[in-house]
Amino acid sequence: MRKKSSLFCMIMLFLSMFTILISCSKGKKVENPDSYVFGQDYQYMFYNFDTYNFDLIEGEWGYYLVHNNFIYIIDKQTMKIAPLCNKPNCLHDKETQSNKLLQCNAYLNPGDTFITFQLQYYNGSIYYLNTIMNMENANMQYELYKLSADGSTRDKVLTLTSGTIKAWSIHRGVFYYSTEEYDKKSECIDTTDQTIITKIATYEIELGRTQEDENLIYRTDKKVEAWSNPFLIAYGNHLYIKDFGNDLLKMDTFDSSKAETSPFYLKMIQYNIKTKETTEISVSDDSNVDDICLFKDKLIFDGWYHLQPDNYNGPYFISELDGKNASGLPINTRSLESFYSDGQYLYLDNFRLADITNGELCIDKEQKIIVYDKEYKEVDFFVLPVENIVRVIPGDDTYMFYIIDNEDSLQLYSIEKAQFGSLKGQEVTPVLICTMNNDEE
Amino acid sequence: MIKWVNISMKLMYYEYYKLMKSKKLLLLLLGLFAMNLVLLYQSESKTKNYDMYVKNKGVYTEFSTRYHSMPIEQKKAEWSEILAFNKVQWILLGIHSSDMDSELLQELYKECPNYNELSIKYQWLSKNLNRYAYYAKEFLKQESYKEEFSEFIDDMEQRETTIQSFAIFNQVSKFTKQSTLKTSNDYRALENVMIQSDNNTAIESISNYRIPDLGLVTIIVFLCISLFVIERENGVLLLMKTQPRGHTNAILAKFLVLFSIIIGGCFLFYLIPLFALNHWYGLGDLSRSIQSLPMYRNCIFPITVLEFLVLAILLKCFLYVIFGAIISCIFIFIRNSLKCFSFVLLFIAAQYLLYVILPLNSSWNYFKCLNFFYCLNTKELIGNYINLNLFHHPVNVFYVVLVLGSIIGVVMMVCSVMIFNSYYSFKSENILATVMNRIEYMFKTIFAHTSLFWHEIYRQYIHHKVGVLLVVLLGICILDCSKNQTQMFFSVEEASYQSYISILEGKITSKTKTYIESEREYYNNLEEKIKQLAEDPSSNNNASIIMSISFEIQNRKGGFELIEQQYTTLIERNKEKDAVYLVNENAYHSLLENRYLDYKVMAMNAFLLIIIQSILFCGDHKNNAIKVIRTTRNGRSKLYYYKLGISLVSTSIVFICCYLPRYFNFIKGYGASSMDAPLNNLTRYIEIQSGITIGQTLFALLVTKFVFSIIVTITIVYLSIKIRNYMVTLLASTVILFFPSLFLYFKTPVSFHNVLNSTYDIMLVFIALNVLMVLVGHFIQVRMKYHFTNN
Repeated sequence: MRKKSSLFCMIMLFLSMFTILISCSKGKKVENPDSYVFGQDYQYMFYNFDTYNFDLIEGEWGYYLVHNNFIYIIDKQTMKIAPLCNKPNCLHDKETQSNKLLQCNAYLNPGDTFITFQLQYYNGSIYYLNTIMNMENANMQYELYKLSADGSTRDKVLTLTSGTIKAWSIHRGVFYYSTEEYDKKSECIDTTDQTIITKIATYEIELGRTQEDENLIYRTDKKVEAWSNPFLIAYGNHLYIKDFGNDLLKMDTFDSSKAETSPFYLKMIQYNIKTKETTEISVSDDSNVDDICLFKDKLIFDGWYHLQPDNYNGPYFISELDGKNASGLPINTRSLESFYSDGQYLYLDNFRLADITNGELCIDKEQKIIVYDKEYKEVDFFVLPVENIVRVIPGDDTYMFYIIDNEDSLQLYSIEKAQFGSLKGQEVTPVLICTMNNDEE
Repeated sequence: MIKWVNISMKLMYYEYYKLMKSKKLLLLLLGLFAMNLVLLYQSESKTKNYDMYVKNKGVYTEFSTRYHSMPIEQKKAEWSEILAFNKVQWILLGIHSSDMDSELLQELYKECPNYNELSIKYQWLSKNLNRYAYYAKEFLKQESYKEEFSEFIDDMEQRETTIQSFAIFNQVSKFTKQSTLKTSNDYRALENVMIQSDNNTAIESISNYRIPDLGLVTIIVFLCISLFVIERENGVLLLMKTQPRGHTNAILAKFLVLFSIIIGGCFLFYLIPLFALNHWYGLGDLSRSIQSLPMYRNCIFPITVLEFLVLAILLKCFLYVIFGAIISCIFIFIRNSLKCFSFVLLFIAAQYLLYVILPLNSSWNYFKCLNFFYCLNTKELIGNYINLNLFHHPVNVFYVVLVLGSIIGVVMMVCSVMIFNSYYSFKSENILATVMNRIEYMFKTIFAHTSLFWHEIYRQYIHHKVGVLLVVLLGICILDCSKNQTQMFFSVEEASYQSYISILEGKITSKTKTYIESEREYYNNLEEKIKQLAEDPSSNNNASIIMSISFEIQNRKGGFELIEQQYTTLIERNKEKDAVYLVNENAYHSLLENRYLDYKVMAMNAFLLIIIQSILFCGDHKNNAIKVIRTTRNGRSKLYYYKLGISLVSTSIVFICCYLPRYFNFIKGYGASSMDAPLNNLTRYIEIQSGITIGQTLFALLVTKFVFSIIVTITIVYLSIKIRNYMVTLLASTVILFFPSLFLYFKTPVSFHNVLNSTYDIMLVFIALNVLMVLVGHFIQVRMKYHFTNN
């Protein structure tokens, strides 16, 4: 009996060691250059500033779109779209039986919770965050899922117990997230006020580890009240965190009729992934950074003078990725114009100036995008054929995208970048990839 | 060979005879069988289908007869009319005539433009309109499903072509590509399948009914204990050594008996509910295809409903035989009763957890699909279409289950025979074991007690290792209590509510009122400021100022509104009362009633008690020590009381370990300031008239739980005295204590809130409940003592 038990133990030990060895051998060693690496890095060029979300991401074989709790794949060759499910016996988004819906590979089950799904791509897999009710303490908890590129397998890789996660990203094998935390006012400044103050904390956890191994990267200062932070962008060895809110010490002397007494603060924090250090990006004491753009392994950012009466963004600067050696960007811009890039081109968009909802500030009649090359020389400019302004997703080397999301439907368009250079101010010809009905809430 | 078969047959006969003589088995069979039918009735009688098809059988027959020979298009038109007419009728019934205006009527008539015409046409329906509408809706659904299914099959090839045109599906993984092709190919078998409308309720109900599974698992475990454990413990099996190939014959006979009873039981447990369902709803045309049920749309077998039922029962028989082979192998391999029983429980629990936790498309889906809970669910195994990735080749899970099941079954049986034979060969112990035995003997001799009481304590806590378990439990309890509790808030409203309640918790005074009013004014002012800034053309339109004010409102107002609402409700409902309290609603609700946590702790408490208490009396019966004690004066009575005392002490320790951390951590986190508040100051219990406080309610609840815990102990002890076999006691206790509570947890929303939401005096309810439990406990105890001292 004992011999058999020992034999059984030996076999189990051998099997577990074998499994560990196999799983270890799968891990890819990745070089960490200070530039964008496809498949390993956060896809900053697919971030949609309109929805503060990744509605679209790029995979090796296609683009992934999430809509109405379904993931769709857009084939890179044909640009056709279909649900990410290889089952011919599945009706996907046309399924009427709820139990069969759960068997669809493309379906992201939101359960009893309301969550806007966003996707991220890392190492040949798609990641998404879901929420679930923890029955034991009646609290919500987050679960990070990993989907194979073809949607055929899905595994939970991380469970998080935290406050509301406002932003998250996966970059070079690390999961970063910003969460709301709460303190009492009296614990932050010298006051008897017991009301709560919102803080934002950003953490990092290596994929494959648990929440116990998380590391705090940045937490808002004790003496401020942070606003929800939807901004967490990674590039190379840097993570950028936008921190803004109210200065608690100025709150008492705040006079809403005087702009200069405003307690509002704004910070752009840079976290160096290698050295684990955080620094604030800034060019002068009276300006802050509101917007950033990553191009040619450089950081482009604006100077936002919030204390001035017309607190619009000022001139743009260019610096190293850590914010050092800042100098003026050799491109003339108007206030309220913004930059974005796909790594290949730099785009200057006037959408804020063409926004008809801006009233008096609506200066331009059309949404115009200027394309610059790596030397900051104007390559081309074109007009978007849209009735209202849209936020453009810069996309990859081949396509640029934009989404028109009405109450009833969503339309996804692509613009072929091969035509840049020949447009010369013409209206660009986008291609409609799909029109999808929005779910009735 | 013939001689060998003869011996096996004889042994089989004796095994049958032995089992049939066992009252316990018959009792268990009858009990589970009755439970099976009662629960079927209970679950069905609450459904709308039961109401419509059974209680109104006459109307349904009338409906069926009327539309039996009517052409399909005419039927559909009439059903649609009935539905539209019924909808308007219902709306009109719900609206008071004074509220009805011409616009509303016009809106309603849009739903059914020929309403007046229909009201004359369907005058004959009168009171049965609603029922006819229900049947019409069900049959219309089936008619639309017919079209859906035909599209589903016709478009299969097109869907396959679309999928194949995507590089991600045909170039990345061989399995994905082949699985797509295989799926499309497999569904070709359904091209000629005809969908037929009929009443599907019976087949759907039997597919969803899982109680027989629970019953059969219990029977199999019991049979394995009866066949493999009891004889081993009695030493009867050793006698078989005298026969050539004695053990092989014996175990084969046992397996044959086990499998035949499993198959018989399986037929009985599934066929009887099926007959009952047939009697209630009718199985419909048995020659219609199984795909006629929307639930089985994805089934790839072109079979009829009758063939499906046969296949389902045969499949269940096969799976239970495999299950029986595995469980018997465990019982043969592990000879320690507790270890063996725990292992079986762990095996079943692990299977269930894997079945529940893993999604179907997990990369570990082998553990979900090749799992008894999945396979026994015919709705999933036959109704779903899943391909498993076997070395990059897609193989349908149904065939994998058949092949793998057969292999496991054979391997388990061969292993069982080998282990069974090898256990009864005599081997000398190794030197180390001999030395250890000597040391143990010396230790026992030095520290031996002459007192019966101390000896019982030694036996229970040291010999049976209950002491070790209790020490570990206490350690876990202390760790739980010393853990730092961090309060997590999922939303800013929750956090804000918590901050306000920490300021305002306690008796409502004029100060509370002033605070709430000033906060309300503050938020109103902030909102007013934002409005002014947005509208004022002379303003700088400074976004940062608006943002700053918005923070204030967004971050805290939600929580304040919750507090304000709570305050207003309490003041309105308790106008005449002096003492009204603002209580932390979320925290106290969760402490008083958390169904999941309550069940978890209760189940843990019961499980520990089963493990600890079952051995107390069984050990004495096993080695016949109980007969020796008869020679002493009042020996049995003394022994009985000592044992009972020890079991009560153990129960108390287990109870403290299970319940203390939750209450201790609560007081550590939230304090006890609201314990004096009346229970009806919590909005959920606002209807309660009794003046009982939250603290008193918690105390009463704890006392009730403790008394219940003692009843559980007494029940287990009683079972152990009656049954006298440790493993059977473990099984019986589990069946008696666990299964009903499991059923209660899943089926009935037993909630403290539901029980207390009445005008009765809560204290009286608690006292009555506890007195009743004490009386029941006392009655069992008296019977128990009688059995122990007189047998």
